[in-house]
Amino acid sequence: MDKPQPTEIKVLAELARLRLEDQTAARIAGQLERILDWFRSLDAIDTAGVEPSPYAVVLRNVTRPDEPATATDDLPHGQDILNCGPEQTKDCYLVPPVLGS
Amino acid sequence: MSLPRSARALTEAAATGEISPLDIVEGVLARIEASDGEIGAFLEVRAEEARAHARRLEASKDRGPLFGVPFAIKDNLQLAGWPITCASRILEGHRAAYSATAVQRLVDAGAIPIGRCNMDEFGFGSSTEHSAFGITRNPWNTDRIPGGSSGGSAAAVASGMVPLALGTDTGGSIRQPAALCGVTGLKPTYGRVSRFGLIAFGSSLDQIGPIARSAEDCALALSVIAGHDPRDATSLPETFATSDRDLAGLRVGVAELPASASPAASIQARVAEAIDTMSSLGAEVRPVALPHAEHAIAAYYLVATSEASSNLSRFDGIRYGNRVPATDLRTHYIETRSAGFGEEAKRRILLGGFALSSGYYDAYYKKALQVRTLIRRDFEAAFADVDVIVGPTTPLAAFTIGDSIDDPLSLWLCDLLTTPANLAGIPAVSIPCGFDDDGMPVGLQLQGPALGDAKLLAAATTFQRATTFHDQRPGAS
Repeated sequence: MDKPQPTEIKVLAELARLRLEDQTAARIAGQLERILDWFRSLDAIDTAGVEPSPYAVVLRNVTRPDEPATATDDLPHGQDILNCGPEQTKDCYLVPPVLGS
Repeated sequence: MSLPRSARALTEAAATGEISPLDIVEGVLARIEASDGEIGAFLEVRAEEARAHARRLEASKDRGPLFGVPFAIKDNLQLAGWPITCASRILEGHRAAYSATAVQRLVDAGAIPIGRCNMDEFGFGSSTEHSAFGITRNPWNTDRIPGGSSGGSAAAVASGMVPLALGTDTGGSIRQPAALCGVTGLKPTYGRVSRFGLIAFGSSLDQIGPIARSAEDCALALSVIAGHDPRDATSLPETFATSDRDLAGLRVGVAELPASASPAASIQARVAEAIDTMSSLGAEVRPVALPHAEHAIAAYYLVATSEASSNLSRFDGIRYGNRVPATDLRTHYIETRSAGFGEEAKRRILLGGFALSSGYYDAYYKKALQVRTLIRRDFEAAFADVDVIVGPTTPLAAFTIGDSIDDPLSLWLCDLLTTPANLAGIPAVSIPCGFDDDGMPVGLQLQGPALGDAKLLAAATTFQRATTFHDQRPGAS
């Protein structure tokens, strides 16, 4: 039931915005099946009542006094960041039409 | 001119004026010229900038703790104005708009950035064969892999091209290549070093650390890059200070290895000899139990791929990197990402997406996080009885290039002994402890409790003062 089928791999690929040829999807589905089989070895461990650890360290809320300060200016702003994109126009990123051509 | 090999000796010689930063840079560039055609550690050497940097240092009055020390940078750490690719086509042509805190701190301490090192694409691999821009060869035998994903960084240090390199370690990517290349590599405690400016792979696992010829040089570099950074909320407030505690009375734990690890006989032999050496230096060796260690690798790959699939969603061909022209946005995303990512990256994105998807989340991702808790508790219990835990860094020494690239699962198992430290957030260092029957380096891993970086490096330094493995160099250099 919880083995990924090639069709399911195609759906995942679509959601991740990746194109997979049928042959590649079949090959990756086969690899993922082996990998997931191996992941299922974790089923043997009793984790009832065990808290999950999304982080290894205990995260503390970090606060500082709310005092006025000047922004650090050694970081790039506006145009510097925009310039990292392949195409810009004025102060915006340029992208292909969102609602079809 | 013959340059001192260690970072400490280099900076001392530079600070006293015995040798100038420019002479050091010229020496390093000559070594790279002589060796890197064969090794392929660097994606790019920025020679003119390094020379200019050295001249500026000579003119300045500042003598930082790494004055004149040349260093190489894994290509997932940003330096403003430099290209950065993560060894992926999707970032080809991108230039960093700002610098990683760790890189900036090295520069501020007087170190000189030399170039960008090869790696597995986005850190996805243990052999540096998954780079979009070519392989890197092991300086001890150029038919062998250097390990990965920081394979370029480790090979650059092992071949004597640079005394220091920055790597990153998500599941062993500093320690495993350090072991396979016969150098010293430290994964600090999670949060010790700011991740600001690192292109993320697994955000709860990633940590930046030094690769150098000795634990002493790693400690010197860590003392510069460690410490709180307001730009990384997960960076810890605790300061780092080096320790000179020796091995006398140090409680050294040896854990039984998971059955699936079964290191090669010559690796087991070298590690046993290293433990005997530690014992002869005054360490009290005793057994420890890490009952969930064998499950770390499965839990790790679930957590790491889940985080990676999320982190890699930012590569959309709009804000940075490469773009494949298309007539609509959806096609633009698909064409850009399909052309930009290599197969291992695609496999991990799909696997992570699967583990996080509705209906499978509890069975895979959440289960892995619960196992992570058990692994962390194992270490907490073990470190109540011992100061450090020692064992092999890897089950195998460097294998032949091309041997495992078609079998992702077998390659993933190389990370069996290194992933527990990432899941638990604890520091771990790999140091050379001899050679296997083929003459390839063997790594000894020392793991310590969270924030125990200094004690770990002191133990490694004591071992290295009594042994010469870390001083041995491949014929290629």
